[in-house]
Amino acid sequence: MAQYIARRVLLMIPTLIGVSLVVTALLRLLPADAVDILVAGGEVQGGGAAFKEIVDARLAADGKDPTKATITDRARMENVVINEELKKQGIDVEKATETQKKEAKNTVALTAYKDAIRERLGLDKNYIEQWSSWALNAVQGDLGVSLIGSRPVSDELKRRIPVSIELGILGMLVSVCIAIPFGVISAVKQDGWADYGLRSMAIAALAIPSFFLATIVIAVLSRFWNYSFPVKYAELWDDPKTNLELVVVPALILGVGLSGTLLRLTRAQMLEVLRQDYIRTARAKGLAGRGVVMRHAIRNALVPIVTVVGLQVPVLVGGSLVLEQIFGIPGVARYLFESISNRDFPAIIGVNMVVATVIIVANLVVDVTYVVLDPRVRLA
Amino acid sequence: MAVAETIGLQDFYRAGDRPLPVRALRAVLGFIRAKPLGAFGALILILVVGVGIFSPWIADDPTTVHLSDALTGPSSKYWFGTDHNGRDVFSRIVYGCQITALVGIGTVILVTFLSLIVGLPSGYFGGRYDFFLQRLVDIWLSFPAIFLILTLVAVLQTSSGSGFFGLGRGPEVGPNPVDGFWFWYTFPRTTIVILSLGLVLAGGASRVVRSATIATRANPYVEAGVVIGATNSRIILRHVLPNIMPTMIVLATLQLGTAILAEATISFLGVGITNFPTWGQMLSGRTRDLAERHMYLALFPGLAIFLAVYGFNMLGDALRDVLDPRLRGSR
Repeated sequence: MAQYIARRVLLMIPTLIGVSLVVTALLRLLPADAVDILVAGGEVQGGGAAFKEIVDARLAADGKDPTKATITDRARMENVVINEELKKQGIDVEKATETQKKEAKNTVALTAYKDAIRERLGLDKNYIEQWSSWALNAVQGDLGVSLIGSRPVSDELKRRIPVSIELGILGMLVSVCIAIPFGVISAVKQDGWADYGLRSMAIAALAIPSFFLATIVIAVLSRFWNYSFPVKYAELWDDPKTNLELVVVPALILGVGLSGTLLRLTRAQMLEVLRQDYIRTARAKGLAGRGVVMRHAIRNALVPIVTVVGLQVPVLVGGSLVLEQIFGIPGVARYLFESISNRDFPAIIGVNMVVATVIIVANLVVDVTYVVLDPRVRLA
Repeated sequence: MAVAETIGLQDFYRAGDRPLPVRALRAVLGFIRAKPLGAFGALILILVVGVGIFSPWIADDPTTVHLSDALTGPSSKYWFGTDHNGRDVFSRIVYGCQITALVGIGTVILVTFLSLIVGLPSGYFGGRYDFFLQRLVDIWLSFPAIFLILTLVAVLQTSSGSGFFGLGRGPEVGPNPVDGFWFWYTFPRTTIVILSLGLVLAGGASRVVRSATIATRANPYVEAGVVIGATNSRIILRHVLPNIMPTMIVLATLQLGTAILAEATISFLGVGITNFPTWGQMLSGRTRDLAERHMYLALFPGLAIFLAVYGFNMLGDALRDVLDPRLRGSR
C-alpha cells in the first residue's frame, strides 16, 4: 500500500512538470507582437514609470543620486534622452517641434516599457530558460506579478482559493444529497414511473446550461418575490449572512448540474449490486426489503460513487466559472476569466497551474481511497 | 426493455435479402419505435442543421434594428419578441442555428480525428508507447475543460492584423448575413473556437477510443490477422477501426451535445464568435438585467440550447443502447 502511494506520488512529478510546460507554452504560442498589442490597446499602463526609470538610470550613471536630484537636473537629463531619440530618428534637434519632442519621449518610454514586460514574461529568453526560471520561482511559491496592478499572482490566489473551496464543497454536497437518494430510489423502482421520471430529470440536468438556470432564477426571484442578491461579496467569517445569501444559490445550481452524472452512476451501481448473490441471500434469510437496500446494497454501491465524486473536481471548478461570474463571487475561476479578458498572462499561467495541481492531487486521493475502500482492487 | 433495445439492428439484419433502402427504412422505423426519445434527438439534429442551412428563407435579417419596437413581447410580427436593440429574437435564434451546427459538427469531426490518432495506436501497441502517450493525455486532462478552452481562444485571438494563420479576425460587428456569403465573416473566429474545443475535448475522447481498441484487439480475428502476417496498419485500418465504429458514432453524438454546451458557455461569457448571433451570446450582457421584466429574452435562447443538448444526449444514449451495449452506464 505504502509502496503504491509512493509510486503514484512519484508519477505526479513528471505530470506536474508536463502541466507547467504546457501552461508556459501557451505564452509562447503568442505572436511576436503580442506585447505591442497589449500596450497599444491600453490594457497595461505604465509608460510614464518606465521613462522615469530610464532617466533615473542615466542620472545614476552621471554620478548623481536619482532620489536627491533637483528638478532642473532631471529636466536636463530628460532633454538629453529625448534629443538622443530625435537624433536616432534623423530629426534635427534644434529644429524639432514640441510635438516631435513629445512623440520621441513616448517612443522611448514605450520601447523601454515593452522591453520590461517582455523581460517579466520571459519572452526575451528561449523557451527552456523561460520555463526553468518560471518553474524555479513557482516551486518557491512565487507565481509572478500580474501585469495589471502589479500584484503578486500568489497573493490574489490566496485570497480567492477559500472562496472557491466554499462554493465547491457546497456544490458537491448538494449534488450528493440529490443524486444518492434519488439514484437509489430509481434503481429500487427500476422501470417504474419514478425511475423514468428521475432518469429523464438526470439527463435534463446534464443538458441545462447553468447560466440559463441562473438567469431564470435571478429573474423569477426578483419579479415574484422582489428579492435581489447582495451586490458585494463578503467573507464567510466577516458577514456569514451576506456570504451565504450569495453562495447558496450558485451552489444549488452547480449541484443540480453535477447531480445528473452522479444519479445515473448511482442507479447503475445499485442495479449491479442488487443482482449480487449476497443480496439474494439476505432476502432469502427473510430480511425486509428496506433493510437489505439500506444495509447491504447502498454500502457496496457507494464505493465507485466516492471515486466519481472525486473525479468531478475539474467539472466543479469549470462549472463554477460561469456562476462566479454571474453572482459576482471573487473565486479562482473568475480570476482566470478576468485575467484572460485582460490578457494578463502571468495570472493565466498561475491560475491554470494551481488548479491543475489541485486536480492531480484530487485524482491521487481518489485512487488511494478506492484501494482503501475496496481491497479487491488490484494495485497497478 | 432488453428485447426492445436491440430491435433497430435486428430489423436491419433480419430483413435479409430485401433491397438496402427497404432495410434502412425498417431499421429507422424500428429505432423510432424502440427509442422514441432517441428519435426525438435525431429530429432535433436534422432541425438544427436544416434551419441553419435555410435560415435566410425562414427568418428576416437578425441584425436589423427596429428601435420603435424594442423590447416588445412575443407577437404575431415578432414570434419570440424583440431585444433591447429592437432586433428580432426569432431571427437571431434561427441564424444562431448556423453557428451551433457549424461549431458542433466541426468540433465533432476534429475530436473524432484527433482521438483516433491518439487512441488507436495507444491502445493497439500498448506497452511503453501507450504509457508515455497516456501520461501526455493525463497532463491534458489535468485542466478544467473550460479553462483550457478560454485560454486557447484568448491566445489564438491575440494576434496581429493578419491574425491567426493569416485568417484575420473578421469584422467586430456582424455583417448583414442575408446578402453575401456570411460564412467568411465569421470564419476566423469559428475556426478558432472549433480548434480550441476540438483540442480540449479530444483528450477525454481518446481514452474511450483507447479502451475500445484494447477490447477489440483481444478478439481472435486480430490474432488470426497477426498469424497470417498482416501488417499492423492493415490490422488497425481493416479490422480494429471498423469494429470500433459503433463506439465512435456514439461518442461523436455525445460530444456534439458537449461541444454545443461549451460553445454556448463561451459565447455567454462574451468570448469567441462575437460578430454573429449565437444562442449563448443572446443570454449575456443586458439580457440578465432585462430578464426580470422580459423573461422571454432569456427563455427562448436558453430553451434552444437546452433542447439541442438534451436531444443530442438522448440520441447518443439511444445509439449506445442499440450499437454498443458495452458502453452502457459509462456516462
